Amino acid sequence: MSALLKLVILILFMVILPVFAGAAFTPVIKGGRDGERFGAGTVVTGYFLSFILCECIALPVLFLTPLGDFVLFSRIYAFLMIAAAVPGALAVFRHRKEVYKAAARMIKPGNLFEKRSTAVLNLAGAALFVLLLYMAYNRAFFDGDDAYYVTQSLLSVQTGTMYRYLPYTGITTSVDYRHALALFPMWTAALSRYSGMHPTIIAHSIEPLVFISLSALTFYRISGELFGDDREAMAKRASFMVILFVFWIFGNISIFTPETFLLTRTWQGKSILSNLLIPGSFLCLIKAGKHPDERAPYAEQFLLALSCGLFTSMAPAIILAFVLTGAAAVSLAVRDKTVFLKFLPAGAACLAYLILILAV
Amino acid sequence: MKGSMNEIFTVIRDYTGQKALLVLYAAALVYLAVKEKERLKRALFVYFPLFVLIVFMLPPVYGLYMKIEEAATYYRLLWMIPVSITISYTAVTLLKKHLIAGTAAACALICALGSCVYTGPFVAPADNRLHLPQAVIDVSDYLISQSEGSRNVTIAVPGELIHFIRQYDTGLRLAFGREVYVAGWSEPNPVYEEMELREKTDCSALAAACREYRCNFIVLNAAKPVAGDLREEGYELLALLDGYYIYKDPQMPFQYDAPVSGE
Repeated sequence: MSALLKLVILILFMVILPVFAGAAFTPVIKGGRDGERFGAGTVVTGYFLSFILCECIALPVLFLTPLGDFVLFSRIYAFLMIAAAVPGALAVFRHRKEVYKAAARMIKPGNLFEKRSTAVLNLAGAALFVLLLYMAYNRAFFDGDDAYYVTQSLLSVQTGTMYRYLPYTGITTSVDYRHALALFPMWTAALSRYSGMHPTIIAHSIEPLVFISLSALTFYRISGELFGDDREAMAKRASFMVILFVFWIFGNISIFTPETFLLTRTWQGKSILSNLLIPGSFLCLIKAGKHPDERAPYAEQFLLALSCGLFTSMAPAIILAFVLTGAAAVSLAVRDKTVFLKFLPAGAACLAYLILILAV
Repeated sequence: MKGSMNEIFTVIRDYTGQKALLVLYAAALVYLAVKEKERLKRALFVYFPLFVLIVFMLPPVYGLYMKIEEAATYYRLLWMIPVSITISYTAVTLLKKHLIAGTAAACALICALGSCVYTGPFVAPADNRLHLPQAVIDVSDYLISQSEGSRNVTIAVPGELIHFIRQYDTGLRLAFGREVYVAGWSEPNPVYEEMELREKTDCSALAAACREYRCNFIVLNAAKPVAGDLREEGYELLALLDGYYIYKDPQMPFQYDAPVSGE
């Protein structure tokens, strides 16, 4: 398969299908209002849906098939992703004028360069963002954990099994269910199987482009909740993002910070926990505080909680603690106990994961 | 209790890297505690992080965590504190009247107090799209070409290669892997001991250990001193490639497993 075709197929499964799946489900998240079908939340919703599907299919295949039939998992996952994305693709086509308006609203070229400060800061932010992606693509970051996680993806592609070989040496083993429940390497492996691209290339060169972008999008949405999204707020939001990007680059004060994980271990589940799931939960909390009667914050948080077990076995515990404590804080701040109650389904999703982890 | 507090403070100290960047966060926290009027933002930026920090510092919480997870990962609870959002929000709030200059000043302060990720010891220009050392790919490709079609080859390689070989091809199995480097993860491994723990590799002992582990190939760093010669132990020297000698054991047959899946 030519390199270009591999890339096209990879973009299809890694970007296009999740975004269309998000377009299909955004009305459910937002309470059925077609006017808000397409936006930044569509992208994030789509990715969480793809992660949930991955976990929901891979887990029973891992438990119930001999040797964890990776080929079976990848076929079912592809089928369901396409099935989830087709209604979204049709919706995008039917509402193409609205999609164009939503995209124009997000970019807002007039607002981006209306004032000098807005223009300068937006250009600086864009330049920093491009720098982040360039460095992620052109720098190799050594981390010992890759000998486990990245090798696990490659093992599945090359043997057709899941978690039946020790990544470090290659000898056969019984399943380490504790680690195996965090099935994110299988997502990478599935993308490799569909596209024919080596999973180590996907992990090290391509996934950072996606996950750094998703993190940036999440923080940009947070800036909208903090400063508003009117024209006056554009300069402040741009300033926020510039300072944030510089903090990402210079936040490598130890190997333990989220910023270090984001830029040097982007493809690992722990990095996605610290740089997408936790900020995503923060976004849901602040949205719930500002718009307590809207469905979207609670629905997004629920999707996030449902997907969190894919990334690392400690994610359900951390997200549970974060959401319940944060929801309590928000409830007290806005003096509305229903805010806390509406986050309980997300807590229940995390609890279900924890019960599963303890059971195995 | 005192021992736990010391360990908790060690975790915090290691997390901050003993750099001043998180002083910015403390300053932002104090500023928002005094100046932020919106209840929601006070709850999320002040009360919630303080609560998390207090709970983090409680020895019973640390003790409970240790029962479930490794102590080495306790720092991850600190990820719940929204450090970057708080600093960025505070800077914008403070500097909103002079945004360009203020943003530049805030960035300069972060640069001065932080540490650039791209100049760290574990980052280098990528040799290839896999972001693996090119020597790993060259050696692996050569070994695969010499394996007579087997996808079940066992090799002994130096420590600097073990993290990478199987990220390239899992048909190459290792006599020892990363597990030997982490205390408590594995049993003693004679191949590792002979290759990595001796100042000078004893070829006779290494050959015996590798035959015990049924290694088809041995890869030696050409710069490492050796005592003896693997050729005298019955090995064939196949190549010197990217600074590594590659030896084959002609006595060790290749294994041919049946494919596991319907590929």
